Amino acid sequence: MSSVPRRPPEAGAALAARAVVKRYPGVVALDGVTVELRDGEVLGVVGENGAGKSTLLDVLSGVVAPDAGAVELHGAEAAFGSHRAANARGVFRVFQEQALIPNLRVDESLLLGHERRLRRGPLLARRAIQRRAQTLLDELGVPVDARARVETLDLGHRQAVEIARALLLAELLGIERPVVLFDEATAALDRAQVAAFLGWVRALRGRASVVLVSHFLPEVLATADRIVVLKDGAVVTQAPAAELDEPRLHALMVGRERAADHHREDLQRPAGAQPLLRVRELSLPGGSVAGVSLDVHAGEIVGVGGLLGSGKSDLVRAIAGALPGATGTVQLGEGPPARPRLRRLLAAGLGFVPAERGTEGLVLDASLLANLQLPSLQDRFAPRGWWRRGRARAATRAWIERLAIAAPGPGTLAGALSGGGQQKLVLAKWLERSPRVLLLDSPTRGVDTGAREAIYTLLREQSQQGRAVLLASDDLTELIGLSHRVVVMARGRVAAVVEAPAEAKPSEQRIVTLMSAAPEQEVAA
Amino acid sequence: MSAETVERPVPERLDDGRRRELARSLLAPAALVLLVVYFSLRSDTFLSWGNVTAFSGQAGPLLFVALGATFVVVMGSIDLSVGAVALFCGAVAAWLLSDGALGGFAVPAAILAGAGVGAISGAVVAYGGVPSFVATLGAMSILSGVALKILRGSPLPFTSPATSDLAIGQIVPHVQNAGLWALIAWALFVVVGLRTRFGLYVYAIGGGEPVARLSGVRVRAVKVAAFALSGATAACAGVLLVAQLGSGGPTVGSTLLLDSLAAIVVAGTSLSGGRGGVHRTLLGVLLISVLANGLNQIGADDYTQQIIKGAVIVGAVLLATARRRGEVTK
Repeated sequence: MSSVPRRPPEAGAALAARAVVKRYPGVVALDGVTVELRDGEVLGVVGENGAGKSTLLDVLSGVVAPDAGAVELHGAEAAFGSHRAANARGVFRVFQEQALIPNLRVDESLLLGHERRLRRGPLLARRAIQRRAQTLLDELGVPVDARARVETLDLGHRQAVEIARALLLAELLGIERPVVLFDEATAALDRAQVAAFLGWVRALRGRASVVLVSHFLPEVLATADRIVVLKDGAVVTQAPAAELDEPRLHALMVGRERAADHHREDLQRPAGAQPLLRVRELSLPGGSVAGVSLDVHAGEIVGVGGLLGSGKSDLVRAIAGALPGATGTVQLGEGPPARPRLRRLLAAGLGFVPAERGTEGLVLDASLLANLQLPSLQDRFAPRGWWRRGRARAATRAWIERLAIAAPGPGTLAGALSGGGQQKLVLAKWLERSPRVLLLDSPTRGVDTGAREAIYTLLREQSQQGRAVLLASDDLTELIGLSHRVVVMARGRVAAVVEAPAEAKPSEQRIVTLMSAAPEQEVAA
Repeated sequence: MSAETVERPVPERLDDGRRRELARSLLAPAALVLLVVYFSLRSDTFLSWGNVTAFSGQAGPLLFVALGATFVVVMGSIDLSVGAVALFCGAVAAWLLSDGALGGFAVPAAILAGAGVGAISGAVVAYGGVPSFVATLGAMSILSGVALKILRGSPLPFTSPATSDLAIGQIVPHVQNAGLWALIAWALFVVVGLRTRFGLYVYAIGGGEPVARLSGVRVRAVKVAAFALSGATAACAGVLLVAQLGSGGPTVGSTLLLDSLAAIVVAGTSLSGGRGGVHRTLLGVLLISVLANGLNQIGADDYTQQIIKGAVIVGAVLLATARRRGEVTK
């Protein structure tokens, strides 16, 4: 680390990354990033998936040591080693996934791991804890009873509890202004929750120094004092929020205006007339999917959009037959309409790319070969029970080459691939079967830009070859850019279907309006 | 993270992993050699033909048990009932042989019974959603009870020269048939584990059950089959043990659970599933059997052996997790 260019820290830098480099197998996640968080400000960090936002937070919060460069806390070099050590120095991180334990009370959660700071003799000073917790929540304007169990709170209020926790611990530790890092903290919240949450974040200004990492640009623009744009592991811009707007941020993140070529709209051809996938009156117990009917034709890409809790992900899973208790029918090609059952549909020519790449899409601890052959052992690579190893290896090699997967050979462990490489492998595993219908749930989540474009091109090819593609995604530009039609889901139902021909793509604004048009009080509890 | 950096070949780490993998695979053979050298120095009889014959008779049943149990472990489950299945099937075999009603079919019937009770455990796990350690712990208690009822608590002798010959005859000089059959079965199971669809499915389920399910694998059927297999091989061990003794006794199989688990784990099969395999298990069985046999030869008592075997299991798992921690898991 001696080669780090050192310069005197700017007065008032609470936390800073200096020329930080972090490499993972196959990717440079951070490539010499210098970012300063000034004391008491809210710093927004934006960038595409894979731009390095999460890695930057990992480094800033001390759980990941940089390969080069340094992290400085109030001007002194810091290496925390763990979240707890970081907490002790006044650095707190709030995740997208909840880190709270559902069956604990709010006040217990606020102090978890630091109870010894508030006790009476050997016992916890429960009353005192409760009072302090309640006072703090009231100050922040969070309408939560400190005695409530965490599991009874909605996601927005749980995130608020995380904020309160940072402040309370800092107070107890005698730290004047803690640093709070928000890692996509609003991703799981609905609109009303987001608005309240951002209010609480704004209330932190002056009490804490805040880093806000988010996908949602309007949120960041409305909340942050300054904004850092990351692209491909490097800082593209660091500027006051007042000097930026959404289109400008977009252009900086992508490196171009929302470009048609990114989604290969030039390859979009009119869809065929023959429906390959027919879904009728599909419902799930619990109502996350309620009476959905839709068709996907040969050569067509249909996008499914919707807010969190709209049921778009459940819809795709239910069509695949991967959720129990579904009613209604799914029909593949000329097959009979029937209640969806996964194995029957897979045998009839369905490919299903689930959302969770690491736990549902791939066995990370197994080789590329083992993963690629898994759905096809039944009929291709071991039809009579004997493994046709040579065939499976050859097929794996061919896909590695065709999709430019960065791996030395079929024996490489899937877990050693980058996110993009892994997603290519999941696609290859299904494309090997030449499916007539391809269902994909968030296929580019956590995938770097290069692999993204490869996946888009691949999906275009599939559609040109007359396959039907149904794709659920949170990424609006992708949804609009790729799809022939966009199905907007709200509260388990189809709220709207928007045509999206190559020459007349609907605006993101229009889709967003449709998504949030339906009341959504009951969702995302 | 431009396209250029992404498409770069995956760097050094893989080779590091391979080197570590190699070091791991050499650990067990090295320990085996050390043990053999140590015991042959400490005991004059350890390397005698007589002891080789005795060794083959001891290792054979253990290898059988470990074969089926390895499949269950690779699948990410565990079969705690193997010792009890051996006891139960040994008792069934002794009972049928002393009764004489089934004649030559007594042995296949006992093995089938083992497969049957294994399949039931498997069904409870796969269809009932009961964790395998609970299901097989229950099966262990039930089967031990049933076996002791069959035996009325005491050894049940039978006379069947053919059955005895099955276990203690020597088709290959100085090697008890029990050891020979086990070795043949091992070769067969290696092929099943590494070259058949069933074997590949077992690995896939152990590595990621949801992935296997969403890929269209009949996960539940595979689970039932793996537990049935484990029951069948435990039954083979039970039959061989009673054939060696000429009677079904209440202590048959009492050490098999611990020993087979130790053998599987020291050979490098991960208890969390997906890694290792039956090809490795032979080495583990040799290691544990040499340990037991050698300790006998130098006059260590049963209690000492229990202590050492327990320590070996925990030590092997500790070592395995320590190695995993060193690896880069992303």
